[in-house]
Amino acid sequence: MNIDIHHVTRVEGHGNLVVDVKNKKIKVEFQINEGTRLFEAFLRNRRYDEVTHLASRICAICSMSHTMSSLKSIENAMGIMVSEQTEKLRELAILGEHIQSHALHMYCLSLPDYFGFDSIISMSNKYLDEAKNGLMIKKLGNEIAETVAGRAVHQISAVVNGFTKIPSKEQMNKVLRHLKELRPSVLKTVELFSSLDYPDFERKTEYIALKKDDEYALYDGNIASSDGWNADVREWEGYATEQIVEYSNAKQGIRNGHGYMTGPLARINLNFDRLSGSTKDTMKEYGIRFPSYNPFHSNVARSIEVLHCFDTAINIIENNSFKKEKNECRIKVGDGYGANEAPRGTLYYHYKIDRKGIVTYANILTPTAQNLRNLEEDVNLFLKKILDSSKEKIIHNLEMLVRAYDPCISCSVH
Amino acid sequence: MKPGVGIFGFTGCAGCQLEILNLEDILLDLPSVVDIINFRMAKSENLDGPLDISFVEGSIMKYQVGELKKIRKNSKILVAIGSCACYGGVQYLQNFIEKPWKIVYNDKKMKYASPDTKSLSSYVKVDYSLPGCPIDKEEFVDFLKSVLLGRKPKMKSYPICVECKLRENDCLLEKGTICLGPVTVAGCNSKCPNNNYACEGCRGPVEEANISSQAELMKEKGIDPVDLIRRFRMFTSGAKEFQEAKA
Ligand code: SF4
Ligand code: SF4
Ligand code: SF4
Repeated sequence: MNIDIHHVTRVEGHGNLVVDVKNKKIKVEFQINEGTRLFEAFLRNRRYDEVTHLASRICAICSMSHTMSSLKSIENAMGIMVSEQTEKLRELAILGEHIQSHALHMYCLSLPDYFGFDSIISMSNKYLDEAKNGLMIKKLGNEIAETVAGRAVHQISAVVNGFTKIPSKEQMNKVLRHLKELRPSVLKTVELFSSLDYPDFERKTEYIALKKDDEYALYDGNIASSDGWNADVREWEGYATEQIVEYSNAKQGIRNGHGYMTGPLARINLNFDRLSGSTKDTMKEYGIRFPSYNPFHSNVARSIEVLHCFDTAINIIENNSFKKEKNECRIKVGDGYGANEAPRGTLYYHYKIDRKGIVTYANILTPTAQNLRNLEEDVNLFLKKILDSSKEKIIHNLEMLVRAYDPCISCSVH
Repeated sequence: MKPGVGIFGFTGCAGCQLEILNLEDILLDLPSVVDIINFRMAKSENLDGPLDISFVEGSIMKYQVGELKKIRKNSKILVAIGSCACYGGVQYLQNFIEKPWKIVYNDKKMKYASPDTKSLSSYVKVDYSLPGCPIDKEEFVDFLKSVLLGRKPKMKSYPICVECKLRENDCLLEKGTICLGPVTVAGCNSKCPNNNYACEGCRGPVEEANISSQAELMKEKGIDPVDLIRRFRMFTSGAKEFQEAKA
């Protein structure tokens, strides 16, 4: 049997899933045929204060994460310690991005599968409340990002060592009001995504995410693995290797010859106990337990994270006031690393900067590239389970599995 | 009959398509005015055509030319959305580097790698262009409304500075920061200067942009010649006016 899902829909970008089954041997290739963009080549020879706006264009949906990891890597190279306010604002911006991206994935890309529709638009004929809820949550995620960083898609005001503009008290209060108004819809979201009929499939793999002692790591942390190791972000290139595969334009993340998973499920599996108290309490009401080795549970993980992001954002806005700060900085030669949790997993940056402030080297590892090998391994095993179904059903199920990873193909071919 | 619309993406970050999905307040009402026939990022059932209007995002690599031509053939009106489609986008920057793929893929021959990336109009006729990185959502909606009402959409012929002055922003250029507002076409409501950040020209050159006087001005502000050229090479380095900027 041969399956060629040409241009998987309802994912970001162009990818084909090609599966070949011969005498019970299964060969899986997730071919990324989106044009290569070669960011790591053209970010070289640019000034330290230009690269971040260029780098955010790697991906629209997670542009905020690219902005933050890029800035952190520059600051790390030039020895800049940002203020506490800058950290809080950046954290808030990242929370907004997670809310936006997860809502987009859950409601626009994924839910139509479970409700039997081809898009959120056709789904809304029967499930208008759900569709509207999803879009309202997504919109608020964008509103947070825009309030803090000037624009939701490709940020403007987040710069090296701070922000060019600080949101006003009124703007922040408006965001706070919206968060509180919409929180009940998020609880409904958690309920909905905890009760969907997910395919029964488990495969334990290595889970990797940032980790912090005292909080659920999104903006910052050390690298942690379900295999028990822990490392400083500066060491990422030694732990997560990228492999070039000839059938795809995207490199694949590989550790000790196998794939690994990064993203919402990895984070919840590793850091469940660091979620906000109210989020953990809410989860007691539902049947799904973590760690979970079912990749389809990534959707449950996303819904939990949205709730956590709402509560954390409310907390940040209620407990801080923001004022204008200086954001000047001095150019310094250096080698810098930065990472944060993007919606799809850990995003890593490494820049080298010379004494004139010019970037001489850039290395970027995106979540989707890291997940590709693991996705192929999942497809392989999952297919064995469903091989007796009709071809149509197999295709649909495999597409659902690909979507569960929420692949971001632009990211993977940066 | 409702006009059939297609939304397509080639090489880019999908940010322009995302801005359409970011029209949360009207997204679910769109089907009452248009038939969305093809939008692979958002729906699974897609037809090739016929299309009354197609919105095309992304720059084009050689292996994508055939697909683009097919869309052109199936569409009455073809609109380039975003600076990737209008000018080649950020990835056009690879055209200024010798063998850029060597840096990224260790010289391995990639199946889909082709070391050039161009705007849509390099290969097909483009009826309208909505530039920006990303497009401006409101401008997109205004454009769609005009087309649906059978009006000829008006393209802006004045620079960002006009929008910026209307909003009474403090001028960054007067404070000594280099801003490309004077040579960049309006339509974003001066988003960057509103955030106290200089315009980086993401919408591309305004009609009759005076690039040499902008370059003079930049030199007066003490910018070094290499930096000057770099400033014109951000998101729209494929625009020939911006390429002509000399130190
Ligand atoms: S123009 Fe900008 S926002 Fe639009 S696809 Fe290209 S890089 Fe993305
Ligand atoms: S800040 Fe820039 S866009 Fe605004 S008026 Fe000055 S030069 Fe023009
Ligand atoms: S101000 Fe300039 S760089 Fe900013 S969005 Fe408008 S055109 Fe683009």
